[in-house]
Amino acid sequence: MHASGFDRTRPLLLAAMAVLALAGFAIGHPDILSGANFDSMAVFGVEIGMIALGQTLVISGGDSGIDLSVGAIAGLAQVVLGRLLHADVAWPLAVAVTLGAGLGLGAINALAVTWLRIAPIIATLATLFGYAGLALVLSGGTNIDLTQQSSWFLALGQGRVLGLPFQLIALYLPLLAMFAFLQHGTGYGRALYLTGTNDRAAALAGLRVGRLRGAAYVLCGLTATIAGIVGAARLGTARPDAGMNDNLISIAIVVLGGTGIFGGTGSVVGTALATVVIAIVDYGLSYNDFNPIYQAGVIGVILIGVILVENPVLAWRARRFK
Amino acid sequence: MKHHFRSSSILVGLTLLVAGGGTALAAEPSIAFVPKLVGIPYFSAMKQGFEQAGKKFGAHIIYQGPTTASVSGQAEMVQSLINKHVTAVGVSANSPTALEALAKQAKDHGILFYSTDSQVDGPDVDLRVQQTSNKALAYTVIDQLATAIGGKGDVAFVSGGPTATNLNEWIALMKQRIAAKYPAIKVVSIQYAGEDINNATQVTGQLLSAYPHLKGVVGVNSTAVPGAAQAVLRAGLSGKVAVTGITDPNSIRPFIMNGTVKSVVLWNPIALGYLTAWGIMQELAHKPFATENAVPGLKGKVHYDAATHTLLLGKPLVIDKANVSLNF
Repeated sequence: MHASGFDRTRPLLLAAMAVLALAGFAIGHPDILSGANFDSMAVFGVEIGMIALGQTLVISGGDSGIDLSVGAIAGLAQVVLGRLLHADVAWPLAVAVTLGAGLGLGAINALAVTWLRIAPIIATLATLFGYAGLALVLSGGTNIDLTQQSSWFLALGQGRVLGLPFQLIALYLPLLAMFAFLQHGTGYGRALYLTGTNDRAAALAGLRVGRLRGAAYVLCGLTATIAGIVGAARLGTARPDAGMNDNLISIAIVVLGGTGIFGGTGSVVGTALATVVIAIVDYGLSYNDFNPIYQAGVIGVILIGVILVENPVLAWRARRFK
Repeated sequence: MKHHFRSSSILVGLTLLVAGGGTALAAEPSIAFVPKLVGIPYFSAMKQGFEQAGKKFGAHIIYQGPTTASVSGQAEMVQSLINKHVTAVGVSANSPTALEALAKQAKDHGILFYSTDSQVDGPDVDLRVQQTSNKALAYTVIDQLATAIGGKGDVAFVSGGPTATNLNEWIALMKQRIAAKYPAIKVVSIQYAGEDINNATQVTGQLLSAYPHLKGVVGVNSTAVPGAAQAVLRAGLSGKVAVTGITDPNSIRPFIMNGTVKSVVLWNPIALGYLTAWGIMQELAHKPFATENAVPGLKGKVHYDAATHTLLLGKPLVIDKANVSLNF
């Protein structure tokens, strides 16, 4: 295995899967291979893709690290943003305050996990309900209309750069590059990998395990918040229930991307490829008029399928390089 | 062999070409409907109405929606349908504002955008179809109540959430009807039980003990009516305390069958889907709406409000023993 826990099998499998899925959908509907459709896939994949970047760090930090509250953070961020905009706060300031709030929400998760030593699945389950409840209270349970806000703000989710969606070019790809650098090119990334692999060894080596993991939760809160802001700008609407489907899908994407659920392995590059696969499958199924009731099931089948294909490949390689 | 293969592939190609040309010539418009969510009887009933109209007026109906009432899921489906260049696309909206940008995009692509059942705001919606006016709905409920209790006595309301805009509007209109037409009916209490049948049962049970002379209970939302009926049945007051309100046949069927409830009021979602598809076909054929429209296959006239592009289905549907077998 690579020193950084990066393994090539999964990314290659995912790339193959993305191509296969596209080819399959193209048989049913050749015109799915159009610019407009790729555009839509990107737009719908970017938000969950951002959340999955943060989730990757949390999970790879080990100690059953997981953040179940990401969707709730995205929803709460939208509501905070919506309330600020309706209070006539200038949009750049409103966005900045919302980002700050998102860091705070991530920090609460971090403290609950590292300082109070609550198991991550319980801590973030609690904050999931807490944040979702707060979003309902703050919004009064209703839809917040942002369609009349500044077109500069709406461009965060509807704008174009070089003919491509703004949020893909100006937000997602830079974030991906930053997270990839953080994970593979910095001391923090290596320390987090070590923590995820063996936290006792990491602590004995003088690493501050709690801080490393805590930082992952804070960053995860930040990516969820950015996703929430982009979603609000895209739909011109803030809603308390905006991210309700994102909590589990973000985890599925991270695991599909090759990050071990026990920590210490994986990469945001794998997560990005898994996001592409999910975006293609999700969009392709509705484009081909599949009953959406089956779509959730298809994600499960892919998850299991990848592992079933991968296990013999890994076993074969292990035999070959013995 | 090779020659044989080639000629058969040419034949297949020709057949495909002819078939393709055939569908292009027929050019049946495709109307896509994205409900709030799929898998519930209410929207399946609307779909049924769409399909009846599709068959009658010659349109292909596409029915697709998210599995939860998700705004983002709905937006994704509408986007994919726009990219597919359907003739018309529309929703029963999960949010009045979140689809405005997509409505504009549809317009820019020459695709008709409509909303039905639950509306989308903004100037780019070509057609809206509304169930029935709040006034007609509320007034019909009070008329049913008055018939059931003989026009006089103490009654109580059980509603859903205290802040629900539509429910509060209905309550105000119900009171208005009572004040104007049934002065001998007195509303002694209004309680809120949320969207929860058990809660409604509990609340109604309390009302029955607090007001022993209560003659009737009005359930304002779809869970309050069966909840109230359950409480009345449990207290052994079936036939002594009337229960009515706004709910669907599936929820109230057992209580209508056992006689606790005589009638409830809603609109007909099958007719709503049918009217929507008819309205779209009229728009596609560039036939303008009159203020009052006769719709083939529907009873009564359908009102059109030109300022908001809204067709109004009209009278509410009274559900009693005769038609409680409707499935929605």
